[in-house]
Amino acid sequence: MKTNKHFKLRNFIKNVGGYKVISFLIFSVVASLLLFSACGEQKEEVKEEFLVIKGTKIGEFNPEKAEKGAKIFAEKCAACHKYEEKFVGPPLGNVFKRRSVDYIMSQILDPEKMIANNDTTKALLKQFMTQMPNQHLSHEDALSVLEHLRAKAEGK
Amino acid sequence: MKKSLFIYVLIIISISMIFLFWGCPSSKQGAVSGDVASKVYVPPGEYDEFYGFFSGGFSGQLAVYGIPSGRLFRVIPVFSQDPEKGWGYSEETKPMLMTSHGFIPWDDAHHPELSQTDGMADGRWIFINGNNTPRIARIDLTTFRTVEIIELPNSAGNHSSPFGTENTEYVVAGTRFSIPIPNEDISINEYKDKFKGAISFVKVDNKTGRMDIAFQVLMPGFDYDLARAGKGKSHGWCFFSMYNSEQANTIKEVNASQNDKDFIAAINWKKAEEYIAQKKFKEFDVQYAHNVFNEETQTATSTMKNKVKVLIPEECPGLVYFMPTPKSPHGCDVDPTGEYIVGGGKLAATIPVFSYSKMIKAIEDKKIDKTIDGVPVLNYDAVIAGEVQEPGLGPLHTEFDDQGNAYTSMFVSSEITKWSLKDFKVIDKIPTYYSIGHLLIPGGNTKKPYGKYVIALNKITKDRYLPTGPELTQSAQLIDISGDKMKLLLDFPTIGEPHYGQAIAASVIKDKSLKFYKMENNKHPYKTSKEEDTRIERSGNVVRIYMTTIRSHFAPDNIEGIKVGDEVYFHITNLEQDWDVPHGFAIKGAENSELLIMPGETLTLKWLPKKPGVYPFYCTDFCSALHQEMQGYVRVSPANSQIKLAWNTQNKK
Repeated sequence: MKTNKHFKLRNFIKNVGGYKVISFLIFSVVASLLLFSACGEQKEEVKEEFLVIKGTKIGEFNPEKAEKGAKIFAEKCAACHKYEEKFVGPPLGNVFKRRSVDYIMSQILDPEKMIANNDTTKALLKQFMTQMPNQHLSHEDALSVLEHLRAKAEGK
Repeated sequence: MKKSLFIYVLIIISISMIFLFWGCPSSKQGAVSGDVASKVYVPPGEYDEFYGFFSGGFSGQLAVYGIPSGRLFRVIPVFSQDPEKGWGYSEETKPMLMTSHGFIPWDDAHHPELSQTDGMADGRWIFINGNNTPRIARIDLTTFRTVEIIELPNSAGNHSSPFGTENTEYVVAGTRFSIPIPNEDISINEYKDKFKGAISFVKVDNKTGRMDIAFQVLMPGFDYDLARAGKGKSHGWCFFSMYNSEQANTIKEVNASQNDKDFIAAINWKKAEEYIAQKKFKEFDVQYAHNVFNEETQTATSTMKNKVKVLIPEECPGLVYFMPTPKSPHGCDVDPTGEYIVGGGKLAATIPVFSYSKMIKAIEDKKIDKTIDGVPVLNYDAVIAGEVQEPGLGPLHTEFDDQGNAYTSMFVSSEITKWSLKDFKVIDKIPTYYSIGHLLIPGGNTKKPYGKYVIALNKITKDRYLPTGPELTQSAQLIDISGDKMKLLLDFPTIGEPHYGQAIAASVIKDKSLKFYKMENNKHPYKTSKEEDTRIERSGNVVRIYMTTIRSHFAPDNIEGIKVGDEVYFHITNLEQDWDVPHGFAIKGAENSELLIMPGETLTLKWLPKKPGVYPFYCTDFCSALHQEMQGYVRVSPANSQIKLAWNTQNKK
């Protein structure tokens, strides 16, 4: 039966135009798959951890900056974040040790993109269920908050 | 066997071809061309070309639509309380509805008027009239909120309003009802002797938009109906249509339709400014409210004013002229060049078109037929440029396109008539469904109309939509005017009666739209900047609760120590600093609406608890996955209770 099938297939191919048809078919399927996969390119690209802010440099500890950061933290962050205990969001007392500075900066400055793309943030959203609001801090203010969190984590 | 394999191959080919030729499935489809639907179809996620601002008529509000889609984006509360937005219910907005008659929760809004710079809509503000308790409102087009309302003294029925001059130097307000001025307790039968019509010129500050009544002109006791300012060559003049030159005060339907001609008044406001400078005015004692919403404190204040400057035409030669206009004119519209003034005599068989240049010449040559109360009546033949013959029945309003054509609405025959400004000949007509009032062309009242569409604003819809009981919607109809023949594209329902509307290119406004109020700019006296500052203060029976919101909790959310007889103020600050994240607030049994608090805003709800018990409050605007958890309790104790004020939000650290 098998040979018979193969025979029939070969016959069929011959009948409809031979191997040219096969190669055209293969070409069109491959081409269309390539085209189709291009549509999802954005997702494929992300292999290392997604971040919005990269290359944040921190110098020597700046107590004035940390103090300014504490004030901003009270106004823009403290409604949802405590230092030692879980609240609306995770505790941030030692987040400076737990995460990279780029991660912290990205999370402050563009939580929407982080929720969409960063696996750590995605996992946190599943746990806490409340999407972190974008409080529209300036880059400089975010650096001050970072310095405040550094002070908290390092006991300064 | 062969056959099934062949089908299999065909399926593979077709799937491949679909991908090859269709491309990525997520890419947007181009609009199908050629049919009517494609001309009004705005694909999901894309923007309309124009903002359309239509009056809400007897709803007292202003509606914002996308043109050409006809999609309703927002209803801006203006003269009427709006529980959806807390307008006129929150302590901050209540003063906006104050008048010399007290708090007035409603009005009838007719004519939106966009602010202009050099005769073009500039997208800064839009004004609208309150007809019943005469007022003019100004709406800011960065926030789409009403920021100022001024009451008009000596007026009764502010219909002829708030049409503006070409740099919005003034918005005007003619009274539809003449009344005794100053108003007094006299017999209505003294109409002819004692009743007068006041026309107000409201100065608009070019930088702040702030309104102030500069002066009024005390006109004969007629009914002042509509108005338009001159532009270009006629800048400095303003034209007002009027009926009831018979001065009837009963059964006006018949008695005000006796005279062959009524008038369009031409007022020279630059001349008026000279007379004011020369102090040729009389100062009248009046009472009117001026309400201003302060963007910094986010709170409105209402001030009562008591003087107005009045010019009397008899004492101010050259200030006002009458142009005889057939049969109770309604519309009074000025073409883009400023040369032609088109009268819409609602009972007339023709449309009279007056010439500004001829009017100036007639004044110079003293072509005056008679004088009424010191106002010279110019000779009709000396000022008329031409008459549009057989335009249809009941001509009302005229707007203009960018090709030198005029479009007049015909109320009685339910149609729009297109005619040429070159020879005043009718070019085309299209039926409307039904009983068109005003019509609008984007920029159709400016020096450079966009053209493209005319929108009919209809009073009656009868059989056009699914029936909804005795009360039916009014409607707008979008008509393509880009070709030789007008073509109906779309019908859409409107809120209230859309008397008049104006449209402006979306690009002029959309990028200036405010996204949220910055916390640091919030100077509200009862603002709470951060959660740790939330608190409750008692002073006698007045209790102030300083509360904050953020996704998704209130602070504080458990409150005790409130007593029956207390006057409780919830001062709630939304700590969010992102676009489109308002929080709502509602408490059981409040004789009030909800609050809807924008990011960075502070609003106040007054609550008078009447019975002991525990009262829940919650967020009314879905804010996050845990929105349903955004709630709290207030405990209310008897008046003589010793329970102390206490609050918490698990806010120990």
